[in-house]
Order: sequence, then C-alpha cells, then structure tokens
Amino acid sequence: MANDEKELIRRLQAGETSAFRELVENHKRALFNLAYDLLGNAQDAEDISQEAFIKVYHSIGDFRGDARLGSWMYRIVVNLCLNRRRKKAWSEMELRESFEDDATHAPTPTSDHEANPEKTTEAEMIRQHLRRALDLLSPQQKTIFVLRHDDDLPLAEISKILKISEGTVKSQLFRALRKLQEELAFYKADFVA
Amino acid sequence: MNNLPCKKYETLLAAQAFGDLNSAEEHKLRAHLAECRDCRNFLMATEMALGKLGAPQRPEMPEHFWGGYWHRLAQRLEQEAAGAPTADSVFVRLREWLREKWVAQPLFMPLARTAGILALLVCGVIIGHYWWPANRNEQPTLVSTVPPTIPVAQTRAEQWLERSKILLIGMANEDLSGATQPDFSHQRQVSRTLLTEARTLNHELDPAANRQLLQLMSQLELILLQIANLEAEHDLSAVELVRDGIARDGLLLKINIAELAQQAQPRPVAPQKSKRQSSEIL
Repeated sequence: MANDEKELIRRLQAGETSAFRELVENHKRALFNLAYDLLGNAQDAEDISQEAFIKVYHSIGDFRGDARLGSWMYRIVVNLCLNRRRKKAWSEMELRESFEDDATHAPTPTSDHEANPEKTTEAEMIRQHLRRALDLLSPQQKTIFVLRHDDDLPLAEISKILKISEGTVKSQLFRALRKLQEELAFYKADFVA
Repeated sequence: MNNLPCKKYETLLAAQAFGDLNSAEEHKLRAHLAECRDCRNFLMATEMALGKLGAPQRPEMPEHFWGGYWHRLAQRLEQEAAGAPTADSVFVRLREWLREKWVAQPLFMPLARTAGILALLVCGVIIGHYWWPANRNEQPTLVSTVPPTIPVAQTRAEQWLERSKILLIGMANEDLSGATQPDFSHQRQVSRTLLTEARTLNHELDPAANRQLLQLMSQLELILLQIANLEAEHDLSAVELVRDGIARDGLLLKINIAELAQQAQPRPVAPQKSKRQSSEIL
C-alpha cells in the first residue's frame, strides 16, 4: 500500500472531513462507472456510488488495511449493486405475476444506452444484443465479466474484491464467455464473414 | 455452434481471452491449440465477440453533475445524521432482509400460499367453533321471558322425542323378509343412549308442566328397553314384539301430538339438530 494511501486512511480514521472529500473526489468517477457498468442506469449509479461513500465514511474505523482502499470500495459497490439487482429482480417478479400475459420473457432494455437507439447499424445492433446478453448471466458472472472487461481489473484483484479464488474467477469468466457465445449464435455468419 | 472446448483448458482459454496468462501458461495453451480445433474455434469466437462488444459505453455526465456530486453526498450525510428517513431506516432494512433471505427463495411462494390456505382454514374452524354457534343462540328476545333451565330441558326433550321417533320409524319399516338378515346393533346402541338421556330428562323436567310428556317418555322407554336388549341381529321374534308395541300403543301418533303441543307453547328458539344430524346419530 502506498504511503499516500496510508496517510489518507489515517486522516479518514481521525475523522478529517477534508480527507473524506479528497477520497470522494479521487474515486467518484471510478465508483460511478463501476455501478453504471453493473446496473446500466445513471441514476442508480449515482445513488449506489454515494451509498458506497457513506458506508466508507461510517466503516473506515474498521478498515484494517489488508486490502487496497480502492479494492475495498469496489467490493462495497459490487455488493450494493448485487443487492440492487436482487431488489429489481423482485420487483420485476411482482410485475410479471401481475401481467402474466407479457409477450416476452426477454430482458427489458433498462440501461440508458439500450433505451437510446441512436445508432441502428448492424454493428451497433450486435453490440446492444451482447450488452443485453450480459443481463442473462448470473450476478456473479456478470460482475466478474464487467470488472475484467469494462473496468480492466486484473484477475487477482477481482478475486480479492469478490473474496473468491482466482481459479473460480477464471472458471466463472469462462462460463460467461460461453453464454455470450450461445447468445451470439444468431450472428455466427457475421463472425465468419 | 462450435463443439465445446476441452474442459481441462477452460480456465486457460478464459484467461487468454483477456491476455491474463503468464508465459508458461501461454506456452502450454499454444501447444494445445495447435492440435485442438474446438479450443481454437472457441478462442476465435470469443475474441470476435469481445471485439464486437467493444469498450463499455458510459454516459458522459455533464460537468455540473460532477461539480455537485460532493454537495449532494454531503446533503445525504447531513440528512442521515439528522435522523431523516433514508433508505437505511430499520424498517426498510428489515424488509429487504426478509426479501433477500426468504422471499427470494424459490420455494417461498408455494409455501406461502399453502400457509395462507391453512391459516384461512384454521380461522374458519375457530370462527365456526366459537363464534357461529354462539351467534345462532343469540336470537329471540323471548329468552328473557322464560326461565332458562326449563326451556333447555324442554328443548332436549323435544330432540329426544324426535330421535326416538326416527328410531321407531326405522324399526317399524325394516324389511325382515329379505335375503340378508338385518343388523340391529346400531339401533341397540342408540336405544341405550336414549335411555340414559331419558333418565336425566326425568329429573330435569317439571312434572306438573310436563305430565303428558313424561307419560309418553315412560312408554317409549319400555320400547327402547326392548330394542336395547335385542339378543342379536337374528332376533326377529323380539323385533316383531317391538313392532307390535309401537303399533299397539300408537306411539308414533303420540309423539307427533306431543311435538305439536310442544311447538304450540311459547318458548325460546333453542338449537335444534337438523334432520341430517339426527340421522347421523342413528
């Protein structure tokens, strides 16, 4: 852990407001982006990232420094996002029970970029299909895929954030890739071309 | 769809897709790919898929969004400190905990529905047992005009007569010429029950007000005693004697007259067993 980070943690644990503001300014974009990648919604992303900072504010006294501060905050965001997804899944289940004659069970376009069909080129269509396919992954698979692919975190870091072995990260990543390929079988001709 | 890649190389393939192999692992995988077409196809399709997926498209939030981020966060913290309701309130946390721990379980809904049905049944039984009979007894205002003990005895006497009548009608109309011999064991049992009740009623009924009723009851007791003492299901001669006694004394007619007389008297409406209940007793 870098000395700067150690010093920041010390100031945070001492209750310095300026240290907390510094932490927020340094990490707000990263936490927002991670939440957005996992939830696909800017409003939720801000809400989750702020909730994560509030949790950090209250729990910094318990932080023992055995992980990087960034990894710890990422873990908080991931857990909050998983909880938010569960809540949404619950709400959708309630709605589905109310409207059982829904035409399709395909995932609804909930993300901002999916709801904004500015580009309708074939490549964009495939890209959107792939993004929607990510929602078909299990929460853990999607989280691992997003952390690796979108946030470019190393596998070792992901295993620390999720508190699972690196082997599990790799096997989950493989399953995520398999599912994506299954979803994309429709576009196989495009791949071959 | 391509064939599945080799299970042994799954994790290496996943790591290779993101460039996460060390040199030894990369060497090992390369040697395998040289001779395994399925793994080669998987890796190629994966790289194409990731290429099509591209970088994540995130919204470009305006500068004032980032500028006001700290302010909004500070506001939330202040609200929380002031005890304003937030998403972390105890109730919300409890609700979420219940949802996550219980409601999200796949067996929750079927179990909840079953429990709901059972709860409704239990409520129905409780209401039927405690509330409904009491409600049925709460009817007439006449209750207040008559002493409570006598009407209860009279009502029970009326029920006793009704049950005796049904028993006697059954005995009088039993087909004794059939191929199979009738079994009177149930009638014997009912007769014994009626005799026991008659002894209690004899003590409870006011002799001055129920002289004719008590006379009829004593006549009926004789017949009931005969029925109760039938030897066995083949005791046809004794059954004939019972029938003769019923006809000779005009007991059924007397019961009808007694019932009419009882009904003519002003009295509270007491719980009466239905025909179905009476026949169940017999």
